[in-house]
Amino acid sequence: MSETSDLYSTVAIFLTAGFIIGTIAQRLLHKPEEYAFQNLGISKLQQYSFAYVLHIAMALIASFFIWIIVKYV
Amino acid sequence: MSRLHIHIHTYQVGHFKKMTLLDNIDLSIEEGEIIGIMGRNGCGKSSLMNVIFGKFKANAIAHFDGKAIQLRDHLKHQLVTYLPQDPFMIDSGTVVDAVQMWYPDPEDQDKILYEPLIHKVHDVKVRALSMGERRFLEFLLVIHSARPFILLDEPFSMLAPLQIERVKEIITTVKPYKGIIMSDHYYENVLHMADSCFVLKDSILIAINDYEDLRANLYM
Repeated sequence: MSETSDLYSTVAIFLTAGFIIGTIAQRLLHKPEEYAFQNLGISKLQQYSFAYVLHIAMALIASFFIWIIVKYV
Repeated sequence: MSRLHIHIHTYQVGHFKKMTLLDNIDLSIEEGEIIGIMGRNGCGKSSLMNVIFGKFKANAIAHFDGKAIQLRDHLKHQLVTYLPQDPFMIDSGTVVDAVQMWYPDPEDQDKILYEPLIHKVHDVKVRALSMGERRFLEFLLVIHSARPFILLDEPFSMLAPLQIERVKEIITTVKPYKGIIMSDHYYENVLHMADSCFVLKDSILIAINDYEDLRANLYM
């Protein structure tokens, strides 16, 4: 398998795992707040999308620090 | 005055061994009306509210001003606001942050932020509030909602006497343009404030008028 397709596979796994972890985190960690979201008229799609984006952002920040450590330490 | 009519054929809990919690419940509420629901712990009061709120799926039909609506389709109809009995606020921000998130309009924010019992905790993180303060704040956020129908699940629990009196005053103030369904074990407050009262017993709603009826239905 070429390096390019390896990269695509990694990105695909990263995004899929991000979606699954974001969804589970949303379900488990924010159950009480679902009443607030529903009272505010925020849809499930918006909730899960936000959790997903948050997860990706955190993962990117973590990746950046790992890259710094690997490169300079 | 708008009217919401709900008929719940059945609501069952349990994945394998099904238990019927609500059976053939008929409830109709109009703006300007308060309905009180009482019952023993675990009889299904909160489940009834969750079904009306659209959180729990039940075999039910609902009509708003004669037009059929789906209770589960809450994003479409936006008719009901719910104060659940458990804390539900996102607790990372301050009280002001929470109010601004719920009410972008400054005029609406003032209704809550100028509330005397909230005024002194504006800059306190929600997670640092006492249970009573937090509960009172949640009540204020829900009661000032623009939606016409409000469900209050144990609105008096965990509150100090001063807060309970204020909750009663606010409910009386908003009553002319809201339909309110409330449930609480402070049955004296509920009996006093509600236009009609029910006891939820053996999965059905039984209309009551006074303390004697509560005793007769084994609530007291």
